[in-house]
Amino acid sequence: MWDAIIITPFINVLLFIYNLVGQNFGIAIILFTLLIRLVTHPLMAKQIKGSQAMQQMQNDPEWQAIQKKYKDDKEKLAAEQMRFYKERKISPFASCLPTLIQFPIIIGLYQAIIQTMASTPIELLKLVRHIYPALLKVESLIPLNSRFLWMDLGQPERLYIPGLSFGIPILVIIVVVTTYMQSKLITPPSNNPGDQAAQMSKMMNWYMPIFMGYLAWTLASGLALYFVVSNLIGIGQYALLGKINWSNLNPFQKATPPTPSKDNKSGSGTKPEPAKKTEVEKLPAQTKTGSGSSSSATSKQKKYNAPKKPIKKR
Amino acid sequence: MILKKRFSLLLLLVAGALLLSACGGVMTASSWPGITGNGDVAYVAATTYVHAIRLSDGSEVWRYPEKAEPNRMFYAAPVLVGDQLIVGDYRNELHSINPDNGKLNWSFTGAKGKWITSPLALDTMLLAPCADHFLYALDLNGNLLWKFETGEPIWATPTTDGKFVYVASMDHHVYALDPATGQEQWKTDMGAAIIFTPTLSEEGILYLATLAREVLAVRNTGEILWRQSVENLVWSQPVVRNGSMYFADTSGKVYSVKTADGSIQWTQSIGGEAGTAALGVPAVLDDALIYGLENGELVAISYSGDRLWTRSVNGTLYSGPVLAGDRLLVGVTQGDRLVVSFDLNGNESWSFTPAK
Repeated sequence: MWDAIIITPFINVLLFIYNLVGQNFGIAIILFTLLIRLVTHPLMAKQIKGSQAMQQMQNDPEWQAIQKKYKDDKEKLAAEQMRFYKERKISPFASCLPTLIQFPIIIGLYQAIIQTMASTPIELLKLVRHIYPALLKVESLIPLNSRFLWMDLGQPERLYIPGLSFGIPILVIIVVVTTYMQSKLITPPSNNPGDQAAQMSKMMNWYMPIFMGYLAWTLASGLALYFVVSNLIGIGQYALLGKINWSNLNPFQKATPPTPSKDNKSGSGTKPEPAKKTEVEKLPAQTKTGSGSSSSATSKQKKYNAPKKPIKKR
Repeated sequence: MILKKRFSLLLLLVAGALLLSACGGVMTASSWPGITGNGDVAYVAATTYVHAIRLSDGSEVWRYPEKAEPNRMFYAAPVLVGDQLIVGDYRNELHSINPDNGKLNWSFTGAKGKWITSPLALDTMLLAPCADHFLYALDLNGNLLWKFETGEPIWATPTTDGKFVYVASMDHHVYALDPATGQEQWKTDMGAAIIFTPTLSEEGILYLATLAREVLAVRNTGEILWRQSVENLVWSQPVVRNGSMYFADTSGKVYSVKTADGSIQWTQSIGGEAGTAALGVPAVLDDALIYGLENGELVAISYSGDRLWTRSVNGTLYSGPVLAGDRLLVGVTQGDRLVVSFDLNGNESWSFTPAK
């Protein structure tokens, strides 16, 4: 089922592109990744919006106040959370469905690239069987031309310079840099010290580039090329949606505070107003009526909107 | 609203099912076990080890290396030359092992690609084809004598008539080389990649299959005598015997064609209704060819196309059995046993499963 629906069509599209661009597998990987990411862009946009709303909630002074107030009462906190979701029309699953639908496609994309770079007998036998004879001719395709720039896409990449006894892993460096950039640029800011997701993201921002770099170091460079292209497209997609936080790239910058949503009237500049103790104490009664004095909870109908402009560096 | 929810749920289920099917299944092997039989011992290259196995009872004599190394995979059938066992790995290294105790004599590390297939052993040299596009000529101490570059990886063991060495490359060409110097004598385009070693007849004709669903006969001067197209992919090495050539395809059909002109004499489907593929190199007996089928079946077929017997093992067979003395050794991929031994009538005698 997986092969018939995803892998085989993907491999044929990839090989079709490969033929179209004069049998250049590097260009084919780039174009194929771009194509798949374009097709899944609407889902990605939905996912980003959903997760952004969740992130903004974490930075909402009212929510932070609730968390603080009920930190020892998990049940009450859960009930308040549900109420908060309902009131702000936030769906905690809004980013899940697009992600789930994208998952098989992205995994399929990755597997199609791996399977097309067949370098052993069984892999090649499987690849040949995937090819639609009506669309593509095996004899003119196999073996694939795996040369791209200085690389053999079927082998781990190293650039050998005369005079140097070792190869420089250029692509590995690019993978690490672009993965780090992507992680940093798309991580939404959080000033909530209790936001575990943000802390996790912070750790991942360091671990992921190292992990991806290790994969690029050991696996075929065709995959490393895919990682780079995928990272760059990911950054581009976030930039298109205006969700990029360029100032996050500055390693010396402290945690960027969130930009308040358009209807967050308390937001003055980029700094959120901390929840006042007296307001927190009043919260339960206020929220029941939906007219909390916390400035971000002014309307039941209010929805979270992502900041329209990139957050400026403090 | 309800419709939207149902649609979302349906999408979720489809995505989940796809994900599960993507994650399922066992890890696939890269190739099938490479087996060589000699006297009392068989040498089996499979995944991370080369095993020496007693032919009498299937017990392990030694294994090489002592400890498995990541990504160091052995699949090419080991070759015995004098007191050395030569085997290449998937980490670009060619090893010479003492066949008595499994200790390393020397290794050649000058290649930059996988050793997919076995080298050809001549009296004083080894001709080792590599996936880095080169054919390496080494002396028996592992020193490079010369190397010859083709346009693509070489997955087929070279063959020789004593005068020239014939190399079939995935760059679509067959090359004739002078074994002393590596000088190219001629090359001919076969029209598609060649995976298996061409079979050289006593008359000096090379018979080979290409990925273009063709079998060809090529004179030892490079001239193509004939080519025969078939319906399916031929992922096997042709066998030549008494004026006929035999080969099988991925639908499980065995063909017999005349060596003189390539005309089809008969076909016999051994792959059943499902059309299971017959792959690799068959065992050649006096009265039969033994093919391995992808579904784990072993089929003996006579030279006139009669199906003689069928046996079955648990796993996948990507190649036919290897004849070792009076035994047929079947290398199993993704099965519960690595090697299964049969006598020439198809009676199972022992099996070998490597200890962990």
